[in-house]
Amino acid sequence: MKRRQLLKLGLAAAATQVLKPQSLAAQQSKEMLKFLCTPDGLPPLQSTPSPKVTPFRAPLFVPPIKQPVSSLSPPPDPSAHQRYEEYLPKKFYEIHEQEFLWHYHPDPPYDKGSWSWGWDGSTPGPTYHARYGEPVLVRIFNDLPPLGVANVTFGMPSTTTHLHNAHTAAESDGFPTDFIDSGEFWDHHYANFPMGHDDREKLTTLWYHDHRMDFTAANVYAGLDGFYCLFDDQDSNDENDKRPGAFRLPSGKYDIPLILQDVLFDQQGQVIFNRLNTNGMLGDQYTVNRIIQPRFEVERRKYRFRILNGGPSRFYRIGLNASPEGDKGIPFIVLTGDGNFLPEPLCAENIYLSVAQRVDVIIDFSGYQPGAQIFLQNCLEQTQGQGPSGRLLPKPDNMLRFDVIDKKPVDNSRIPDKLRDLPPVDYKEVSRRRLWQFDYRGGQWTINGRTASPDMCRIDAEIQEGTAEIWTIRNEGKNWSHPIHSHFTEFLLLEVNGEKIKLPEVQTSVQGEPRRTELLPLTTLSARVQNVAGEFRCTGKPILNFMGGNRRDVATLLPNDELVVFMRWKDFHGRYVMHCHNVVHEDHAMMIRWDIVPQGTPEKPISCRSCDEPG
Amino acid sequence: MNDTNSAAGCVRPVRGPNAAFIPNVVVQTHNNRRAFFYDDLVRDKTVLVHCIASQDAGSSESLEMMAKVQSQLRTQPGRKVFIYSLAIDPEHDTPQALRALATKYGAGEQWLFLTGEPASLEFLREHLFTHSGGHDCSSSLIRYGNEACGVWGAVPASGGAELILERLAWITPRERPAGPARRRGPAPLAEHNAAGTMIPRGQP
Repeated sequence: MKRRQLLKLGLAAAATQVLKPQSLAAQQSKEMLKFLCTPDGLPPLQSTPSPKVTPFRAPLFVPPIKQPVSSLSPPPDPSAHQRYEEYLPKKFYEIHEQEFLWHYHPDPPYDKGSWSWGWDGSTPGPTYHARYGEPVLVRIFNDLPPLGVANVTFGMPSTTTHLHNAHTAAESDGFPTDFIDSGEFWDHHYANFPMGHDDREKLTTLWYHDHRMDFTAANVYAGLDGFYCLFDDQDSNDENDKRPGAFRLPSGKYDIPLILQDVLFDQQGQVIFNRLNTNGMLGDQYTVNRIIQPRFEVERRKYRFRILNGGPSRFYRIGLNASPEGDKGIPFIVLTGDGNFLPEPLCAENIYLSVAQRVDVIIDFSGYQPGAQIFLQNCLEQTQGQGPSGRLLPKPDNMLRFDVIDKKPVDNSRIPDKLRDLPPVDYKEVSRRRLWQFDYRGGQWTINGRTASPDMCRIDAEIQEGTAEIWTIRNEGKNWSHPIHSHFTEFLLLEVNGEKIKLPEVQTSVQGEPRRTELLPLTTLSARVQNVAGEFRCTGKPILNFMGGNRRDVATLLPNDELVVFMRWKDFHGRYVMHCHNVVHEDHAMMIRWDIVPQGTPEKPISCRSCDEPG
Repeated sequence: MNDTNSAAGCVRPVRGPNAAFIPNVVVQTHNNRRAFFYDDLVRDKTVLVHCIASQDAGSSESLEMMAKVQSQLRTQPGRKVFIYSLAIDPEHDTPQALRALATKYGAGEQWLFLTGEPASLEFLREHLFTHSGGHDCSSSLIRYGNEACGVWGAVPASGGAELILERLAWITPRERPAGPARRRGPAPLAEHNAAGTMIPRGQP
């Protein structure tokens, strides 16, 4: 139809009850005229940048450690939890999801506070310090204002909490449709034992976040996230631990979680989120623990930082630098990849973090003079929610400044030469292979050509408990990146883009080609962490860009990437999910459900049966 | 489900919470009316928006499902939900053709088939569905929103009418129940077993 024809038709307007006469400015010809000119290109509607701030003015927020309560009333229902009697809770927690004004920065307009959601009055919420062998019961209350009353208008005040990376029974895993509304609570039983009671399956840095069906991105962006640290006799949360085998990593106030999130604000300092975007949401203010470009005063000693990419859609390549311009790089001492210890620490100039990835690093400030400033920077360019551009920023962005103060306390912390062995890949355990292809169709994101079933009743895979499988995780997109996360169990990398992995290896970028990666055997790295008269330093040449070790819980799919992984499932049964952790993609249906079933369960085709129909 | 759509407790925003993201372009309804998309059709309303093309088989399924949604909504007096079927192909889907579709699927007063200037429609699709050309605007995705409160979600059309209605219930304002907090879950494992979704583990 030609424009003229449309205009002609428009003259024959007929009244309907939908369009009230007084609201029909559109019928006025003068009002119409401005729409006759096609805009050049399609600029974003929301193009005003967030109000600027004075960087490094606000101190870093360090979430408090969550404290247990003596008992819960009413008591938990043991019949609602798998293996409850075997793993009786030794600690009980109550935590409340709340709405509050959060101060992202002291400069106006942020000084008036930004409506946010969080836990017990903060975002990120309090940090749990849990321990292997010490099961806990966490009662999560939804005390958010109900819809229509909440000041955070983009979120859904109905929530389900996932403990990311945990070896958790299905009913406590925060399944997307297991949500609670305002005035309700859900009991989560975290048994805190490693899969199969194999110490090599232990985890370290986990995080909890909302996983509400259709609304994960908005609710996490509003503030519903926090850390959960798991300790044991080695990683004992005590740098003075005299017992043999204790790692003695920096502990207490020297063990700091850092969540990186980019946020967009309006001119009044309120958080903006575009719920109508399918690709992903980028902010223009870097926040660390929900403070815009904070500073953190550090003593002249070692610290452990647990760094998490909290999303929703940005990828990072982080570096440490003695100059805000980025020309005096300092290597990281890397302890973990995602939620687990590497076999041994390594040195890296940069660390690549796709959404939800985590890394624990040691930074030793003992060699710096008081007044020194060290910057945590991002050098990865990303201009759209779909993923990084593949280029590096000409000049890095500063996210956090460490200010070294004149205090050099006794530092008994250590960095051990060996950390934790990898769980083995045993092909005798493998019961089958599966292929998962990540793509898009019909305005939505798909896995094997399907969108998530809106009731999450379709079971895309039934996995026999006590077995292992080999999964190929393939990105069919040429321009999209997808950080893929499967719940319950980590995976061991077998292949990256056709290149087979030998154990143990580490993935890094190729110099000058940020999109190409290579695999290096851990034992041949020239840079080692060495104890030189009590100072732990990187010697030799650090790897360029740590992109993860063998074991992970997020498969970072850059355009056209294909990963082959080994996964095993033990100990619990029930329903779980795999999804893209660009949570905007997740909310646009890039998610499948898989179930753990008992061994010997006959294999069925992908089922679309009703939830009410017996399995 | 609360069957009022009054958004009680919502403070009416000056322009609406998502006015910055939803284009206020002029569209043409199947009844030959022109309207500002945001101001006249979305602001303060609960809506379902999807794309259709009369020559696309997938659209037929989507429209049949919307007809079921409309039918179910009619059984809920006082509930006001607007359905907008946005033409992908205005060359073929003229207001006349859309009127025929509206008749075929029994569209009531709150179900509008929308077309308009190609550039305006493209602008609208760009911001609601296609996003810089990365996605097409097929009938697979339905956006649902309550712009009186500002909350929007997206759901695949494949789920059927019942799941669309469930989502409309999600975005309907409700009060927090009086009294102490209520246990929502988890349910006893035996209930999961009946549904075939969970298998409890024997005790030691």
